[in-house]
Amino acid sequence: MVVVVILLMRGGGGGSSAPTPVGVSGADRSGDPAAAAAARNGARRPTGPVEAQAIHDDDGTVRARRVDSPLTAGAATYDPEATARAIAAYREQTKYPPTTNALRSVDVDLLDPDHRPEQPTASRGDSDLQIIYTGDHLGLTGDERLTSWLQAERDGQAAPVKMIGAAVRVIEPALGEATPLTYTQVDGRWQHVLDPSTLGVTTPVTLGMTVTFDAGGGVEQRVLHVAYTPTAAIPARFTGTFRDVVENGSLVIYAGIEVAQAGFFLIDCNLYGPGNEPVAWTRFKGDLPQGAGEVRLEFFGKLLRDQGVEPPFHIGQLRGARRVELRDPSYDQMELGAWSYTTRSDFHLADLSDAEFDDDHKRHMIDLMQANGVKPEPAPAPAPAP
Amino acid sequence: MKRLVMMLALVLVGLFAETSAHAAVRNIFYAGTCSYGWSDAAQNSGYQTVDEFGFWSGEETWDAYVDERTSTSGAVAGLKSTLDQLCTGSNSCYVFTYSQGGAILSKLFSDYSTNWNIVWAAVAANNEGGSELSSADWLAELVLGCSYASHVRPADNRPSSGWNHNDTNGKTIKNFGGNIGAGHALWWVTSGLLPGEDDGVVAFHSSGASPSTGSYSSLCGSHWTNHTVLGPCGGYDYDHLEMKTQASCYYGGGNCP
Repeated sequence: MVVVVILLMRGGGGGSSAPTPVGVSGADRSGDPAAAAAARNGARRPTGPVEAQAIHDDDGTVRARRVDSPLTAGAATYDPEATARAIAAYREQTKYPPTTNALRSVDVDLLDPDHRPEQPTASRGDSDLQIIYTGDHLGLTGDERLTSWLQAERDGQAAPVKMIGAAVRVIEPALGEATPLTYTQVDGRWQHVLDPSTLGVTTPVTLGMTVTFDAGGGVEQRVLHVAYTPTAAIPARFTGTFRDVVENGSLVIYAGIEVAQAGFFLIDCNLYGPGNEPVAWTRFKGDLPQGAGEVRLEFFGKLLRDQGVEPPFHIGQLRGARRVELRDPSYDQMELGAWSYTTRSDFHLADLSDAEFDDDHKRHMIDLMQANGVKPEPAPAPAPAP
Repeated sequence: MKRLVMMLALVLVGLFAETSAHAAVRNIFYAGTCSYGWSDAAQNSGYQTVDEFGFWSGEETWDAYVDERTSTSGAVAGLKSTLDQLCTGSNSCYVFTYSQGGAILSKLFSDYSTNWNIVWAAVAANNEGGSELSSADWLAELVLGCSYASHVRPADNRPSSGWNHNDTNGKTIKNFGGNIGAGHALWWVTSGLLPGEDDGVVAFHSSGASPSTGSYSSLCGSHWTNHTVLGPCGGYDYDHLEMKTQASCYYGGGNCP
C-alpha cells in the first residue's frame, strides 16, 4: 500500500534527471522520451522525424515533443454549429476583462484572503478522532505574529492531547535549522504565538511549523506552512490616499503606493455596495517603478451595471505582492492593511458603459476558433436506469 | 494590368495557403506532482497504467516537460515557455493536465498576462486547491525522492496574496473529479485525512475548484470564476490515478480509464 500511495502522488511522471523525462520501457531502450511514450502507447509509435517535432528553451533544454499517431493523420472535422456555440460561450465569458469580475458571497478566498484553509481531519490511528492544526493568518509580514493551535475532538467533544514537541524552520527557498517552539494549554487547546521577526530571516520565506503529539491515536505530526516577508523585504506600501474617476465608461480607483523595490506587481481589491454587499473584484497586473505612484484599479463598467448596485461603493481587502520568477516563495508580500475608501457619490450606474469587453486577443481568439474549429462538447451521458 | 492582377492574386493565394499550412490545433499534455511530462516511468513496472495520450484526427498531441519534481516556480516557468512556443500566432491549443498540473496552470494564468491561444484547459483530479495529504507527516516522509510533494497543501495553493484563482486570463478551466468509496483500497488509507468526498488524494474542494476548503459531497457547488465541472456531480468512480485520462477520454481522445 505504501508503494501505491507514493506512485499516486507522483501523478504521472517520476523521471530522474532532466531533460529525459521518463524511464524507458522494455519495448524501447533508445533513451528518447517520444519513442518511450509511443512504446507505452502500444501501436502509437512516432512516425515523423523526432528532432523536427521538439521545441527547446534557449539553453537547449527540450521543452516539449510532439507525439505522432496514425490517429492524427486524417483531416480535422468540426461541427460548425458546435463551433458557433463555443464562440458564443467564449464571448459570454469574456464580456468583462480577465482581471475583474463579480464578487460573490461564496468567494471566501477573496472576501477573507488571510483565512487559513485547514480543515479537521482524522487521526492517523483513530478515525473517530478529528484533529485540526491551524492559525489566524495565512501570510505574515514585518512584525505580524501568528497564533497557531492544535485541537482534537471526539464526538464533538474536546479530546485530550499529549504534546510531544514542536518546531519551526524555513522550508523555502532552502531548508533551515529547526527552532523549538513551546505550546501551552489555552482554553482546552495547545496554543503558540510566533513572532517571525525573531527568526533572523531577511528575505521572503515559507515557514514550516510542525507539532508532534499523541491524541490517543498514536504519535503523529501535523504541519503548517506560513508565507513570511520580513520588514526589509516588503516591496511596497499603500499610502492611504485614494481617488476615483470614471474612465472610458468604467470606475477606476487610484490607490497611492510607495514602491521600495520595482518589479511586476499583482494587486487585488474588492468592491462593496452601500449595504456592504459584495459587488466586484479587480486586480492590477503590471510593472511598478520605484518611488511614489498610484495603482490603477479598474472595475469594468458593464460588470458594475450588470451587478445592479448603485454607488457609492467602498473598497476592501486591498492587498498585493511583487512576483519573483524562479524562486519559492514566489511573492514578496505587501502588508494586508485594513484600507477603506468610499467612492464619490456624484455618478450613477447609468454613467458607466454597458459595452462588452473587447481587445485584440479576444478578436484573435474568435478568428482562430472560426478558422481552426473547436472540439465539440460531448452529448450528456444518459441518465442511469431507475 | 490583367497579368499584374493575376500575379497579385496568386501571391495572395500563396500567402493564404502558407498561413493555413502553418496553423495547427495542438493538444498539450503534462501531469502532476513529481512528474516531468505526461508519461510515467513506472507504468512498465506494473503500477501505472493510465499514462496514454489523447489523439484527435488532424490535430497535434504534445508531451510538455513541465518539471513538477522540485518547485512551483520552476514548473510555472517551464509551462510558460511551452505555451509561449506552441500556443501563439495562428495556432490554437487545448491543455490537458492532471492533479498539481491544474495548480501550475492556474498560477501561470494568475501571475502573467500573456495572451496564449488556449481555447480551454481540461484538468482531471485537479489539485488547484491543494491536498491535505501533503500536510500529513507520514505521507510526506513516504514521498522522499520528490521534495515537492510536501509543498502542494491547501495553504501553498491558496495563498493570501498574489495568486488569484479567479484570474484565468479569460480561459475556461474544465474540471473532472473522482470519488472513491470503501470499495477502493486507497479509501481505507487516505480518505480520513481528506475533508468530504475525494479520489484518495484530492478532496472535492480542490477537484471541484471551490473558492473555499470544506467537506463537500458534490462537485457542482460554487467554483472559481471561469472554472466549470464536467461529468457527474458526485464524481467519477475512479481513484486519483485512474482519473488521469478522464479529461481526454471525455473529449473523445481515447484511452479512457
